[in-house]
Amino acid sequence: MKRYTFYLYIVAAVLCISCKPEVKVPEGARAVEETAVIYPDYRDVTIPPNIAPLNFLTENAGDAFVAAIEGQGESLVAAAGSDGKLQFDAVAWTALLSANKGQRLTVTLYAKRDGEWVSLPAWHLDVAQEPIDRYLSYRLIEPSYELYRQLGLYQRDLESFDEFVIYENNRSYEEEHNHCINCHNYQGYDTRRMLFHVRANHGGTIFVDNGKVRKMNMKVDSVLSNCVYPTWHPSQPWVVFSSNLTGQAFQMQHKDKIEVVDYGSDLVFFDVEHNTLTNILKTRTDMETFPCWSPDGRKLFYCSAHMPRFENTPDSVHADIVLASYDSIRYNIYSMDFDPQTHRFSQPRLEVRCDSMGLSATVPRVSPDGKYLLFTLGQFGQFHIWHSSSDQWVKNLETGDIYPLTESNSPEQDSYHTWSSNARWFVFSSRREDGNFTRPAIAYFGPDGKARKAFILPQQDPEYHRLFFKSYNVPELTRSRVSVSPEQFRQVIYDDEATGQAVYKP
Amino acid sequence: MQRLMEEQDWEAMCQTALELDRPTRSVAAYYALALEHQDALLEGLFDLPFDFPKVKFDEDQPADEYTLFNPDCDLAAGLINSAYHEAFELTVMSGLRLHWLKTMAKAAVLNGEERLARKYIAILRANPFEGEFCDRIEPMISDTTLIAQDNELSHVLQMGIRDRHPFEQLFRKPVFLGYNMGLTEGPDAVLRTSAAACLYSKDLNAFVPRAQIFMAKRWPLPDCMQQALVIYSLKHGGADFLKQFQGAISPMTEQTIAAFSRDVAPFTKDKEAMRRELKKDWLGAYVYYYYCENNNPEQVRKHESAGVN
Repeated sequence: MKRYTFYLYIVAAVLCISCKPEVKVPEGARAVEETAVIYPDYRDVTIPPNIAPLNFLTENAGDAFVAAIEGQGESLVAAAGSDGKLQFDAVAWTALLSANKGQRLTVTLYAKRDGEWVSLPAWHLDVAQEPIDRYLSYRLIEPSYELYRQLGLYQRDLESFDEFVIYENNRSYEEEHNHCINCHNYQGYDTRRMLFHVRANHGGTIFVDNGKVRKMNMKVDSVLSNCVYPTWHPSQPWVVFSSNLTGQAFQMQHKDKIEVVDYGSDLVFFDVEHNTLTNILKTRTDMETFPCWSPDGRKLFYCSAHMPRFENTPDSVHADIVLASYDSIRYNIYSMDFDPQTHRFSQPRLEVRCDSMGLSATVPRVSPDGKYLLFTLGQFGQFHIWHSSSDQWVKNLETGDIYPLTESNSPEQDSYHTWSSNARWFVFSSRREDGNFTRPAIAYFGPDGKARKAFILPQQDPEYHRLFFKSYNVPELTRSRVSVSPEQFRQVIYDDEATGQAVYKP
Repeated sequence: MQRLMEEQDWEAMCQTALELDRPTRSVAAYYALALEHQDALLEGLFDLPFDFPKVKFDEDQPADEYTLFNPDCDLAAGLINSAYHEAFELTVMSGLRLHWLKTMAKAAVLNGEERLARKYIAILRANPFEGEFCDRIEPMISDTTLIAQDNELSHVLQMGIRDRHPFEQLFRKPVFLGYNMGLTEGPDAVLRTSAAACLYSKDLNAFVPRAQIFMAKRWPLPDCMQQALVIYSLKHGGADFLKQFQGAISPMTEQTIAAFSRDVAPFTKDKEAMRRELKKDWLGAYVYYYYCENNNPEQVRKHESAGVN
């Protein structure tokens, strides 16, 4: 009996230590004029109706906390102990959002102090009518310099906290097999056709076509270098790549620690069915990069920087030229019409003159409804995740208006972006948390052409992003899950003998 | 040595190094770092024997000994971004280690990267025994005036870079040496370190301008600098060259060089014997270091270009 009583006391003690208050709105709470300090910052954001719970932690003083979300006909309450971590029931959250599409939710935070409950001024969550595509792909890698060890491609189900492995390079490190993977890309928000690159050992480009996986060596003579940034034609088995000569330099003083530069880049057209590679733009004094098809597949957008000094100088000094003038190199945005019958491109047409604004563009992406061109602008250069000046801008393709997405931008890096298939959401790479570690930020893009305040990818543990030691690269939205298993990918990647060879077609 | 460094026990670091018969490159680096913090780099650097043994690493460790001390030496030399860079690379390859996390936290504080510093402090605080470090560093995030009151971090700021756009690639590696040898101007705090870097690297061409600045500032020349100038004059103009340093080079210095020349004469064809036989009487003299120590050409690091992942 004594032992039983002893254990009973132990259990009671443990329960008291991890005490949360009852999960209900405290009665008689005294209103205080004190801003709720929450992390992540989910105050006054617009959210998709199918997003996972926006769990958050509060940094306000208190021994216990309750958060209450009120909507039309539904409400939801979560409670936390002194750690301030408020995690909402996923099923109840989904019901709340479904019942409140197009409506505003009110969030009130309560804090218990010296036995008394106080309530802080409420904030809101606007639930959009339009959902976001269910899956977000990204690469997880440290915001590193030259070395890499363990990195992978993953897909997150945005309707839950589930994350799936697409492919990881090393479970246990072997130098002779170490390889990098990057530039995952999908055709038309569908994972049945996708690609990604493998670099260093077992290098090549992995193509997936309805479950069939193969690796191709994309390096050919007559093309500047390997194939790099991809864009799948929206419907046909064609991919336009940039081919880049890339290097990086490390700043000794500036807090934008790394400068990634191209010292040559061209555009190439790859016919996936016939394995042929053709130069589209191969110019000595222009660096063309970041291609992107229009949704109807009849236009190609891209960025280009003019380098007149390349004309009369040997290739071997181009990297030095670029490094010496890196902060004055600026990319404009161009487009070319495309004839799908002849595979011919028109003469380039200037779409956005960024250099005259003293700015430089990267990653032009046309909205799926064809109305807007989304791109990143920074003060110079072309690898804006390392430029704290970078922000998202749009061009209205109907009116020609060009403007920054002020509501969703931050003082830190806001860069690489992906549209949702309904053109109402975009996800982009942002370093707004600390200027160094990249997190996916999600923002609504209204029919009025304006963005709303962005919010960081929600996680089950609200403290996750603060402690996580990898960056999220290249966010890409899809409607479906990748069906190829990591083991299938590994088999193909490691089978160097079966690697196909792209063929140059003049 | 890293543990002593964390305790800022510079004297113990020096003592530990000097007790060793054949200190490794890492020990020598931390010895120099400790001297730097005591403003005694030029006075004590060459008291250590510089005949580095080959160090064997386990398979899962960095293969290059430089990676063990680069971050700390970079930071002590005022090269904040480089310290962060090196510490981060170590973290990528070997996983999180508290020592490098602290280096990155310090770098973030010194760079004014408030939220990044808080991230690292949050991770550190979750670990036992790290509260003291966090209590020391965390207040500096929001009150940067406290940095000037911190012995270690105020020293780093004094060494600060002045050149607006330097890239690491412009300098020989390791960067804490290459930068100090390559820079052409800087604060007074850097001048001594810079002169020491040149002497350590035996680059007397780069060293002479620094000695000339010493003269212009009317700073006394430490023994190692005087000896280096006399060595330089042997091939570059002799007494004519030394005229500009008149009054700063003691008559004893030239006698010392002459005495060394006599002692070294029997061993000119056998460098190993030279070092072995002269060490007892000459260790500590720059002339001994210049001719006998740190002579292994296999230990010169080659410059590599930076790829992108």
